[in-house]
Amino acid sequence: MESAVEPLVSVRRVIKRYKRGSESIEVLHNLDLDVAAGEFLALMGPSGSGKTTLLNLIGGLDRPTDGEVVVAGEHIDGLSGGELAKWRSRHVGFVFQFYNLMPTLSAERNVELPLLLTHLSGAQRKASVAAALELVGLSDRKKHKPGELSGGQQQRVAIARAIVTDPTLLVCDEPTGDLDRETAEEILGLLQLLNREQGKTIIMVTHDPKAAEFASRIVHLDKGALVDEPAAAA
Amino acid sequence: MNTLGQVLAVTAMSLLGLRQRIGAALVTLIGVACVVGVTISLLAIGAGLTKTLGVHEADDRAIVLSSGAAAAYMGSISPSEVAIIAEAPGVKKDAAGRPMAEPTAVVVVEVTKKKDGGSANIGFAGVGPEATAMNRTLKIIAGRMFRPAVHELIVGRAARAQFVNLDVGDHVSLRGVDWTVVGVFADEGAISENNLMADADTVLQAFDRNAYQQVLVQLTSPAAFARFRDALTSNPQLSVDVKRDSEYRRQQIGQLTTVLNFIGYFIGGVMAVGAVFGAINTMYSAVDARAREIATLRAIGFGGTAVVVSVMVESLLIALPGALVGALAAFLLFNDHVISSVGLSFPLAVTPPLVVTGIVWALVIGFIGGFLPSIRAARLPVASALRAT
Amino acid sequence: MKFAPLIWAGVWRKPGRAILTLLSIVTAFLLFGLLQGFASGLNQAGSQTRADVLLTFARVSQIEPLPVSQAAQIKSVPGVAAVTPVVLFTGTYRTPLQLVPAFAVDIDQLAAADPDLITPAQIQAMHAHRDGILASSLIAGRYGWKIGDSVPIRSFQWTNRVSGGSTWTLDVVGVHGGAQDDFFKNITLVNYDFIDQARTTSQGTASLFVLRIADPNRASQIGGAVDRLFANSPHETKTATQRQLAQDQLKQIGDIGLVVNEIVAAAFFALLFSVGSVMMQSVRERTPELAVLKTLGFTDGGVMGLVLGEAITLCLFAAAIGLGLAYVTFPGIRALTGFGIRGGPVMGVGLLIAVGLALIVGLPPAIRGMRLSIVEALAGR
Repeated sequence: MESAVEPLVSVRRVIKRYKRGSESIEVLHNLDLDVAAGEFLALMGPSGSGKTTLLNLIGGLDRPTDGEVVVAGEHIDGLSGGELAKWRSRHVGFVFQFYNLMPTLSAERNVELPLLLTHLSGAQRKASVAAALELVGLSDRKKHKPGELSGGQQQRVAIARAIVTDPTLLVCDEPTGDLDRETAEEILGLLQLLNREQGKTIIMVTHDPKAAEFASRIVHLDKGALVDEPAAAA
Repeated sequence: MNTLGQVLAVTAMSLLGLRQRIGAALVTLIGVACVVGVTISLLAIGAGLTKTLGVHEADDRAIVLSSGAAAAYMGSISPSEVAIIAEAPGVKKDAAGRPMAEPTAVVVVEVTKKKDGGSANIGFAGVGPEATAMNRTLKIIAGRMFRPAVHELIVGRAARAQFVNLDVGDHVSLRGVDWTVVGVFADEGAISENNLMADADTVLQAFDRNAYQQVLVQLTSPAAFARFRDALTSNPQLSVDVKRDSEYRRQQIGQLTTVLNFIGYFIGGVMAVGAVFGAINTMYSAVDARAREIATLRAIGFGGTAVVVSVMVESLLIALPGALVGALAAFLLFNDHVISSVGLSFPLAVTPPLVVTGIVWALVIGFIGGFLPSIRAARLPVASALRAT
Repeated sequence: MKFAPLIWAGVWRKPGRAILTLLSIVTAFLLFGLLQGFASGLNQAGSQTRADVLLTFARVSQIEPLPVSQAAQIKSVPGVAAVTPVVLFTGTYRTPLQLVPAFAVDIDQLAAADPDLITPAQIQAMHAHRDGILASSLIAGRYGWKIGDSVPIRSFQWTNRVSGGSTWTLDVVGVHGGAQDDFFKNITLVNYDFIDQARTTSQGTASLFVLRIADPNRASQIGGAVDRLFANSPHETKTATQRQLAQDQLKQIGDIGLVVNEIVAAAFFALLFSVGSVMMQSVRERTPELAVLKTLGFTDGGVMGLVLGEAITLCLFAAAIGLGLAYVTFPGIRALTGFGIRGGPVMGVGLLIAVGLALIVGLPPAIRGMRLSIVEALAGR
């Protein structure tokens, strides 16, 4: 999309190959994608289309075999493992299908995790955690462990964890895949809220068209390439 | 399928799947092997001492000591008392018609160890010319026998190996008197090989004594002991204790063996407790790893008993080879290995009863290790286990 | 430190398993603590002794008696301040299990050799009562002896000519006070003359001599001079400090000590395996969690540190409990056996070993955690 402002995320001519035994499989073929700041992008496609792979590249979990990935002006394709880790802690928040909370920690300790990597004091961390939990509406459950929370509540905690460091980008991989219809809508509504009122840029992978409707733009992926770019949803 | 059939089937399945859990199983096996190996090795010290003590133990031998003598080197039995003892009923006579009662002097001398220059106290026995008659297994393996009335002594094989300056031709200065080592003796590994030996009267004189410490008596038969003992203890002219040869040996180092065995069981016991925790841990992990498999079997209809038995069998089948490995290691490393301590030098003995003890301990560890996890396996909530990732 | 709650939560992830692992480590270190405490007690055996006290035994063996006339000769050696002959008089009081460690001594010489031990009044009392017995505070306390009591001692070694048996009836004249490092601290004292006169054997002899020298730095020279006095005679002597004798006795244990050390090594070896396997298993199960931490921004090194941190926490915590338990039993063992088992350095060494153990068992899983690929780990569920 052409825009007067630089896109927040810029994926250029990206190729990703995996080695399976002696074979080499190309999962992404020369992909180009721009994401503007403040967009809520839905990445859709059948299983095996490479959407999770693309998400991993944008989120700095993996590096492309070839091509560039630029986020907020930084070429993350050229960063080393250690530098990527640092980058992630500052710039990305992840939300997963199966929540991926630490079962042994309470909700507030879970949310605090990314803050342990910063230089904030204990009191500052506590304040940020409280704010994040307030935002997702779970302040009264902060002492509970994941085992004591419902699926929807766990995902809220995961979202709180994802936003507590105020990251540049929110990356979500099938965030409602494990939730019932009603709870899924609540979560998607929350994401939409974060996008519209807090201006958070969100990239979400989903196979559910109903979920994609919450986004501001949908792109489709098939067999490692963008298929078409229908007009943005309202 | 009846219970037995179920048990066999489930057990077979679990054992086939053992390959995936081989790492954890090996760990428990090694743990059990260590416990068993250690316990057997420690007990082999006491067993070796007992075995060495038992060499030449005879039911038809008796020892006469001074009444109340607290140690072998204490007490005094005068020559006239020896004569009375020799004429007591039950004393066997040799081919020439002489009573087989051998008065013995026992003193203690301090010698220096080869290994670290430390000192040790060993026995120095003064024996009469009947020595060889009563002790047919005594052999001179180097040099020659000592002669009476001169300061000559022979050294036991184990003593020569342990201590300095005790070989043929060496001179030993005791109480300012120069003794010559004229020979080395062996006695089929008996404990006497740790001692020195010389002529009884010569020893008495050299150590300023005028009476013997012990009289060794050969009886006509084991049954003659009671008569022999009663005759001596009821005699007002004598003040002696009479013991059977076997009883005396037990008394000699009885305390030491008790201490050694205590140490062995204590250390082994503590290690076994640790091994039990380890075994329980392993079996819990095994059950967790098999959770889905077990739940599936139960969903199909296999009963709880079969599951419990399969877990127990797996636990025992890990523990048993562990015991064998441990016992084998103990045997290879320590059996017949000679150790020296407090002046005694003797080989450790890994005896069959010890091995059996080790195996029993291992089975107990395996049993306890499998018990709780097997109950958990049987009680696993089927539905959630089937869903588990 | 701020990662502490995360590490602690990781250790207790599966409480049952954590407790079992904890208990195995506890038992191993309990064993270690007891054995090492015992060994260090043995090693210390001679250290709390006075350097100005020498003991003279017969060279041929400590069991052979020496003529009491040697005392005067020894006293004449320059540097020797006082000499007392000692006859071992240990026996039992009333029942065979009630031991009384006792020496028969020359009370004047003993007072000269050990000025802090006996009061002048007590010396007087022992002169006044030839059959007097001066109890150690330990014995007097244990058996409730009071001044004026008449106590029967059944001697192991000496037969009483007067009573015809081995029982000696003695008159309690006082309780002496020995300092911690005093050779005679726990020894009950009787008069040499009284015993020697009435015993049926070995009259005129002593089991050993106790010497006090003026200059502790000259101990070996003076000891050598004493021994030279009697060289090549039937009553050759061997003079040494108490410490030397204790260390010599220690060496007698010889091979058994070695075997026990090997055993402890085997115990730790087994433990290494066991704990190591549990840690590996734990990391394998937690691969997805560790991957998530990496997504949050924990570096490879950070994850490795986390796993190592858990290993160290668990091992140190468990070792401290095991060593603590051992330490707690020491006073009890001391009281029961009179053996000077001691803690202190053992605990420090034990904790160091715990850290070493943690590093050895924690490194392989930590490296595994460090190396895991985020993408594969997340996808692998």
